[in-house]
Amino acid sequence: MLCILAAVAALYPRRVPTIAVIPRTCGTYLWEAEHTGVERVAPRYGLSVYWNAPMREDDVQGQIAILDRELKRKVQGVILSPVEALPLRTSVYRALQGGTPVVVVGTDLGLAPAKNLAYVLNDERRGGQLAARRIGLVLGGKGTVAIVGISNQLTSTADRARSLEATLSEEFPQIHVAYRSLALPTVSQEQQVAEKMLAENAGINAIVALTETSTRGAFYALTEFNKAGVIHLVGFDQNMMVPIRTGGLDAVIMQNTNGASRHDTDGRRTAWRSKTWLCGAAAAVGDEGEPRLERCE
Amino acid sequence: MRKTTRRWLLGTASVGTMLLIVAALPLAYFVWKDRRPNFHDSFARNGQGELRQDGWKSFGGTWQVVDGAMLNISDDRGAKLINGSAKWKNYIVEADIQLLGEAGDAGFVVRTSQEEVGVDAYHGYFAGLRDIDDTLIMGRADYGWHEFQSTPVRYGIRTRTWYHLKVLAYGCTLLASSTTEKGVVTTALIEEPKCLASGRFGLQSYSTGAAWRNVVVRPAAKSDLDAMLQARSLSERERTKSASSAPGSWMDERFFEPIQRELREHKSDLNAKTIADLRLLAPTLSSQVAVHGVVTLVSPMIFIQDSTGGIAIPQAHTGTPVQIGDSVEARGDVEQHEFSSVLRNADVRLLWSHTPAPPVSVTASQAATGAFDAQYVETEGRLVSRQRGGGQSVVLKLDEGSQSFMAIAENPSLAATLNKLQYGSRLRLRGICVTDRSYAQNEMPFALLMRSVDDAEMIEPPPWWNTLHIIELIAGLLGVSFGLHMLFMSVKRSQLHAVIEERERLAMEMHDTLAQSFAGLGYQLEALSSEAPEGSPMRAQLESSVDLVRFGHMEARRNIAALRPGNLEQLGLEKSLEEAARTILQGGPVDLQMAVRGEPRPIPLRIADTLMRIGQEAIANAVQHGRPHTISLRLVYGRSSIKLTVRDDGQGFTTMGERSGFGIRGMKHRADGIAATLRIRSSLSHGTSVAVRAMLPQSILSLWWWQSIRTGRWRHWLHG
Repeated sequence: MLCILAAVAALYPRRVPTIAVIPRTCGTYLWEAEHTGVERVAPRYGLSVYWNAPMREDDVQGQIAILDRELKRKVQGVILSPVEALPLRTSVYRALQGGTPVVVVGTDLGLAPAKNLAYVLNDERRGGQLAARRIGLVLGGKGTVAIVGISNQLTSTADRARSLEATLSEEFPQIHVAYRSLALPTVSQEQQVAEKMLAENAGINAIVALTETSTRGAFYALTEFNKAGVIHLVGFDQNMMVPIRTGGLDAVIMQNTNGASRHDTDGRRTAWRSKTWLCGAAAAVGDEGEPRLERCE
Repeated sequence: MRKTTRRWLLGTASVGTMLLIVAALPLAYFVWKDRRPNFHDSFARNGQGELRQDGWKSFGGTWQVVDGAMLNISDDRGAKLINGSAKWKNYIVEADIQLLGEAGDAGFVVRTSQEEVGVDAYHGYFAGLRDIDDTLIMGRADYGWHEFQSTPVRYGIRTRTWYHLKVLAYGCTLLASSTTEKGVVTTALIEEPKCLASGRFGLQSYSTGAAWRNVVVRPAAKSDLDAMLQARSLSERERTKSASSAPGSWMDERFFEPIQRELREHKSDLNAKTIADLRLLAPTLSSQVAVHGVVTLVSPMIFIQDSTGGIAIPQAHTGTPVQIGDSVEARGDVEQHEFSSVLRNADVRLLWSHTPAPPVSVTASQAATGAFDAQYVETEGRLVSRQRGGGQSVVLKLDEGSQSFMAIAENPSLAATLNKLQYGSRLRLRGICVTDRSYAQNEMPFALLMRSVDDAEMIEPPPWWNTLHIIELIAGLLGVSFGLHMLFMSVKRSQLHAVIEERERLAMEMHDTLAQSFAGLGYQLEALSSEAPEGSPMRAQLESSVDLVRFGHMEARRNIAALRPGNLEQLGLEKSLEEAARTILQGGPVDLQMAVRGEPRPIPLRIADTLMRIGQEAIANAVQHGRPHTISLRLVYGRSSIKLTVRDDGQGFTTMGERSGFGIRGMKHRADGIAATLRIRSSLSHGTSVAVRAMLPQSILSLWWWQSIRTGRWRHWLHG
């Protein structure tokens, strides 16, 4: 009888527990770092990784569809970087109701951290401070700033904007924010907004772009106006590294998505842990620790 | 064993083996066919305009067939179109391939499995041409990309130029070669120890549209591998890297180069207006303006949209053909339409690629306001009808709440998919919302111009209570009812047979015991009587006893006759009735008249037996109570019924109502059992008439139901 049981057990080998890691999109520099990190750590815990995401970073429905499908497949856990906060809340709530542990990376969904729900968030307040101090540094504490890419869909960028402006007003009272624009879904739209802003605000000394899309849009607008390197541009999220190398972009506040993924699979609650770096010509800072400022020059 | 037996066994075994082989042949053919890579698609159409080759399945992208080529006209990253069998192992895929846009790559996936929508969402290998760094690339995707090989292509990769791409998978060696129109060959090789051994093949593009034509898949042999290796130049061989080497600088090419490329090419009109602002221009003046937007549709005309709205650009002039997802600058004359603007005589210039716009989710009611005219939307509706439009197009009509709308598909692949949808299905559709009369036909508030197979998704199958299903259900219920009725009749028939057999047994018992005893008793009493003195009281008592015994004997014989149906089935009802009547009347002065009308025919045993019993009872009652001179039996075969009337000219009786005798109650009970009607008419000195009318089988069921309703018997069923 035992032999038969052993033979049957051999026919149906034990399934390796799988976790679904669903970033906002994949195949980009920003998110492939998370993939690398999670693939490195998951085997240590006997986990296999399902990695997939929408083809576009703004495809909310696509991300919900992937999440719902993986929950139906009964994955043992989910690591999610929501495209937007509110639309994903229901799916995450259902996952938690179904007993699936969820780690949310990058933005606050509004659901309180609980036994099965943990957040791994960037220290957006710190990121805003870093951007403000970089602006203060390059402008010598005096000038006019435009802030583009303020998003209401993600608390993360809203926090960045608040922290940025608070730091500027506290530490650099002679730097004024002369222009603000909301985040738009495509680079072309962000560029149009930046172009309009540049055309109507001749006295702008620096731009802070709070998203990767707005960073690219602002950079293209500056290039078109031949102001790249003249008007300082501080961006967020690291898909825009080339202009740092060429000098067209002053700095990028990076997310350590690789390190974030290591915390995710450790299963520890790491909410509001700082993982924001400001980097310059040396590109990404490779390890955890206190965020630090690297000059572009 | 006898020789003939051996020969018989041998023959049987031979025939059995032959039959097994014949039966196994088709199975073997299908297994072999599934395992043998063999595929050719020239993307030609048959007489009905449908693609000859089927089986393609898309994962992202906007796929359509144009001029004998399969096109993905979107810039989706990692759009796939898959075909073939998961069991294919060693095979060659080749086709002509063309990149439609810049800063991307396109080629074949081979030995692929577990494909999903996503950037690198499959397990398999990819070989393709990349124009960012002008290379032939090879790598493996496991829900993440590992690039093993990127070989420079001499003279670079040009968009809108055909290359012949060939990928061979043999064992754990994968070899790709590209050939330019001038015959320049570039090859790339990967050898992976733990390779994926089998899988489907497909077309894939990344960040650009692409075209494939003459796709051929055939089995690969060692000789094919040797031939390709031989053709591979020494210099290329030296560039080959081991598949196990870590990915290197490809991340720069894949992630950063598009940005640099965009940077080089990008120059746009600083005075471009938003699309919504065009509505504020003077409607009577022709204004030439520039707008920026993302292409959402390219056929039958270009549509672009920005964050403020959408605009149609009929007959656009494009230097470089644009694709869905491209950011463009369009300059032309604004023409104000009812709900949106149109840009006439427009020059459309590509700004950059890879910025596809997501659809806006709206309800049909929202779309019907015209607020989303010329915009890429997603909405839901229930499929009402489908018809062919002009050319190869298919037009769906859908309902959603109080609104109806149309969805139009001109892409043949999409049209073929839509043709398979069932009416009543709930669909989620994506497309460009247009209110133009040429599409909405003045019947509907808006129409959706759909782009690809992925734009139609069934989210709920049709409800089962459609007309066909209801008819099927009714037919099924009728069938079940008929079956139950037949079963019921069969059970009743069996019960009747059992009752008849029991009565037969009782009759036999009575004959063998009671009747014999009466006979013996009568004989004994007659003997005693003959020995008793003449005129003595004893003799008188004995003779009286003999009379009583004779009467009892006669009653017993009558009862035996009544219990034994005789040969009802063999003789038929009229003969059996007559025989039974004669037996009852035997020795009496009553005259029997028998009449039959209509065409005698076999009737169900249950009905015949009931009529027989009622007839016997009526005759017996007439004899016992009526003292008649004549009894007439009348049997009438009607079209759908049979009627038996027993009439006598005896004393008659007055109706006794509830207090009617046991015999009459028995007759009524028997008549109810076969849904027959029983009428008894009698009056003093005018005799009695008992008439029973039973429906024959074709209408017995309906009558039974009718009588149940009429008599209120259904209430008893309801209350148990």
